[in-house]
Amino acid sequence: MKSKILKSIVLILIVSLFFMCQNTKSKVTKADEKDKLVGVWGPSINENASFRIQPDSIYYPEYFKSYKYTTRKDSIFIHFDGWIFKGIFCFRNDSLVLKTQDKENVYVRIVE
Amino acid sequence: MYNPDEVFETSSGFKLLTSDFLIFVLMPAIQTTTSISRYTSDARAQSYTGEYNPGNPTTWGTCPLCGCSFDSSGNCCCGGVNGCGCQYCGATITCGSTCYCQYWNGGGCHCDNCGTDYDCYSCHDCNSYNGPCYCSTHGISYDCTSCPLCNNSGEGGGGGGTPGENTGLINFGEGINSETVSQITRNILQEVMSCAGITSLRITSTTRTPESQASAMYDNCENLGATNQKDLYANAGDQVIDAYSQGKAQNLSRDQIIQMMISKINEVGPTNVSKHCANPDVLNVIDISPSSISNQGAFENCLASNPGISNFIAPPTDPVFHIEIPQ
Repeated sequence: MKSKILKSIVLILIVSLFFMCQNTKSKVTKADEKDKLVGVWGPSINENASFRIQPDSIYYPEYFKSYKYTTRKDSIFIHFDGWIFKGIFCFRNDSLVLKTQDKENVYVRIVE
Repeated sequence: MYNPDEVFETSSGFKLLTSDFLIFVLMPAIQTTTSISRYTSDARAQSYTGEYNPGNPTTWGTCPLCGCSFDSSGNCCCGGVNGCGCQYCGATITCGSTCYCQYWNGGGCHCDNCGTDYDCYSCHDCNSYNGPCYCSTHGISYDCTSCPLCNNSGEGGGGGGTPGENTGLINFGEGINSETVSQITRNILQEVMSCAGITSLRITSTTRTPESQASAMYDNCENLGATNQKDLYANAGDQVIDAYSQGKAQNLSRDQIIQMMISKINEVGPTNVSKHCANPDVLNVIDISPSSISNQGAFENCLASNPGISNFIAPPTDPVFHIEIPQ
C-alpha cells in the first residue's frame, strides 16, 4: 500500500521535474536567440549593411533612422512610422532569417 | 473517456479527482514549462496607421494621416472601416485618404498649356484638349479637360471630363523635392498602382545629392564615431569616412571636411556609397511610405513584375518601399 503511494508521488515528481527541466532549457534558448539578434546585418559582407540591431531598436543606416522593436517568442515587431512590421525571426547557420507570410529575407552578420 | 469526476483513490484513502489532478498538477506544470503556441492577433497593430507611442497615451496626439484623435485603445480611426472626419472641413472621407479641401483657395495645381494656377479642387478647363496638364501638388498629369482630383476623390469640386487610366494620387511628404521625380517614374508608379488596385501613395524621399549624403554622414561620424559608422558601410562608404577622419586629423572645418567627403563620394561613385545617391537624370530613386499603401502585398508583387523598375527593396530590409527606376 505504502509502496503504491510512494510510486505515485515519485511518478508525479519525475513528470514535474521533466517539464521544469525543459522549461529552463527553453528559456535560456529564447534569451540566447534574442541576444543573437544584436549586430550589424546585411545582404552580404561586401555591401552596405541593411540595419544594425541594438537591444531595443533597429538602426537603418541608409535612412539615418532608428525604430523601436519588440520580440515575443520567435516573433519580431518593428515599429516603423505609422505601421508595424510583424514577422518571425530565426537563425540559419550564422544568418538571420526574417519571415513573413509571403517571403523570407536572409541577412548575413557583418559585425557582432 | 475523460470523466472529471473520476477519482484517483490511493490505498491509503488519499483521494484526488481527475479534474483536480489536471488542474492542480498537470496544467500548471504544462503552462509553466512549455510555450503554448498562440496566434497573437495584435488588432491594434493591424488597424492603426498613424503614429503613436504604445503604452503612453499622452503622446498619441492626432493621427498624421487624417488628423483624427486616436481612440482609447490607441487605434487610429484612419484604419477603421467607417468614415473619418476631415480635420480641415469636417467632411466625412474614406479613412486613410486625404481630404483635398485643404487645398481650397490654396492653389497648387498648374496647367502647363495655359499657365494658369488654380485650386486643385476645381476643374480647370483650358482650351487645350488632350494636353499635358500637371498638378504639382499631387504629381498627376492629365488631360486638361478632366480634373483629376474632383473626379478621383469623389468629393465636391467642379467635375467635368472623364478620368484617364492613370488616376492614382501620388502624394509627396513634407519637404520632398518632387521635381526630381520624372514623368517616366510617375507613369510607372501609376502602372503599379493600377496593377495593385490602390488609389494613392506617398513618396517620402527622392534622390539624394552627394552633398546631402556627405552632410548626413559627417553628422553621424560626429555623433557616433567614425569606427561605429565604418561597421555600416562597404568599401566605398568606408573611403568617405576615411576622408572625414583625415579632415578631422588636419583640424579642418565642418564645411571643408564635408567638401572632402563630397569629392570622395564623386570619386568612388555616389551609387556605391548609398543607394539613395544617384543622378536623377539617369536613375530615379524614390521611397514610398508603406503606411500609405492599402495593399502592401499586391503592391510588392506589382513592383516585382514591372519591367520599368530595375530594383526595389521592401520592408523589413528597408523601412520603406525603396524603388529605383532607370530613366
